[in-house]
Amino acid sequence: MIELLGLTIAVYVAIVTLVSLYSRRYANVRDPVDYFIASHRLSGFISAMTYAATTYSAFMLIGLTGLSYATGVGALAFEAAYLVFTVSILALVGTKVWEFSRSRGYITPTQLLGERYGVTLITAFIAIYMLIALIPYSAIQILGPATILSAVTGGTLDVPILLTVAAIVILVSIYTAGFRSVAWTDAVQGIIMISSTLILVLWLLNVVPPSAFNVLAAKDLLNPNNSFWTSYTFFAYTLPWIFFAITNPQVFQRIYVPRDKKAYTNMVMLFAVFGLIYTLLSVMVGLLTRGGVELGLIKVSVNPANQAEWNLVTPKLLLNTPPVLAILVSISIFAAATSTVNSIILTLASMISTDVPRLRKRRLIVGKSLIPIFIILIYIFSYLRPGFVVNLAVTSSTLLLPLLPLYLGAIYGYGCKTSYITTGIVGPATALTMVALNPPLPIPKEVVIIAIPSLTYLITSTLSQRKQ
Amino acid sequence: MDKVLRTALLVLALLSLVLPFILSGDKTLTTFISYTILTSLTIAFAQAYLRRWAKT
Repeated sequence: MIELLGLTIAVYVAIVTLVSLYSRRYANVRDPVDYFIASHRLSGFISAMTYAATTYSAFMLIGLTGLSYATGVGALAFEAAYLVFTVSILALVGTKVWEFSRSRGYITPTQLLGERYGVTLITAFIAIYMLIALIPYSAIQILGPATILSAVTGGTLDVPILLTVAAIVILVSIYTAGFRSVAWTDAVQGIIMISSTLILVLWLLNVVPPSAFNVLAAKDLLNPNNSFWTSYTFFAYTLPWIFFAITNPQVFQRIYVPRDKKAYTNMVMLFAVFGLIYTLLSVMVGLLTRGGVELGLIKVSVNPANQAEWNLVTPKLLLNTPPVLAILVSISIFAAATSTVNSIILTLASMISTDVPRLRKRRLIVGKSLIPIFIILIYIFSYLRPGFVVNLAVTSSTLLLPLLPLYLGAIYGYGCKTSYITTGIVGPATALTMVALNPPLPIPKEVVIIAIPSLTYLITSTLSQRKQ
Repeated sequence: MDKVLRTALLVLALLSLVLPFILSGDKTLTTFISYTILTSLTIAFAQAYLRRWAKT
């Protein structure tokens, strides 16, 4: 088992390295525009795969599968709502963003804000705020798959070794050719993710009979509005994610990269199909596993009533599958995590080096220097797991929510300097306060985190316009 | 035509948020099928919208 896993990891690292090196043939690594954004010239297929692999992290086969196992089909409603919103946003809003990126030559998401509102300092502050929200998230992303792989080998391969492998994969995929090597390796990793999940579902369909659905129905797990999925829970889960395409810089930046309108259209369509298939498969893994467990066909000792155990469903399921399948799926989860984290690191490096004024003149050197620093930070946070990192990681999308009105205002030509400065301070302050205090409210705190910055933005914009 | 497609995408997005409550109490595979259809329709309308945009 350990030899097979070692060999598979070696093959995986070799594939990532070779693909990265191949992508370098098309790159100009001395040009910051090429390094950070592939000169806006990626094909529809590569754009789609990097969008999908960046969006879909280890959460899918760990978090979503565990959520489906414990709470039923409501998990599909939550994840499908995200996909429907994302596809609609990419069609209706993304097309405008893509046109801006062409006419203005934007490299980073925050550049759009900085240029539209003309305030450098707040733009730099927002870039640093995104860094604070996303580095802890990346640390937890890497830790999950490393823990699973370690568990699959019975602890023979320990977590620090696997974290080191992840760090090497991330470093190689970014450093070789910047955005191009990230995008190309994302494409390969996306294929690994979806194909191995499909094989896992086929194995489960072979083991679990259709009568399992009767058991799921009896336990109210096919009811999307059961005792767990109340309207409060559904919106608390869904709201941070439905605007993910706008608020998360690593995916927003990917809107810039398709080389023409046809490539952009292909990117959205291929991503949407990938997303639909991967979502259905991840939920099916959870539901079929629960059915198999209830019928006594699969041994997964996870108590559905204990939320702390939900993330253990996939690791424990893999102890039931043939070793080759367990390794393949573990590697796919590892790929899902590294393909998300490499994109986050490169986007953050491009934002800090481009949008912090004093660093801009030497942005390529600064950006390249920041990459290993971010990787080391992520490694240390994954290894030590300090409490504040765990808290920030689980709330990263919630922390980015208050940036929504700033982006929408910039894209649709609303708002002004005053509204940008005010909301740029009030929004993050509201999100951090709500996350830190978590006050008992009759509505999900995410509603407040969207509402207060949006109202601030609207009121200050209206007052400024009247004054003018 | 663009306006129709834009409206359709917005309606589908809003529908994805209320569908669990419309299907409340259902104990069959209706939710699975409904969300697959809803997402597929969104993809189809987005494709129509993007193809028109790509021609401009």
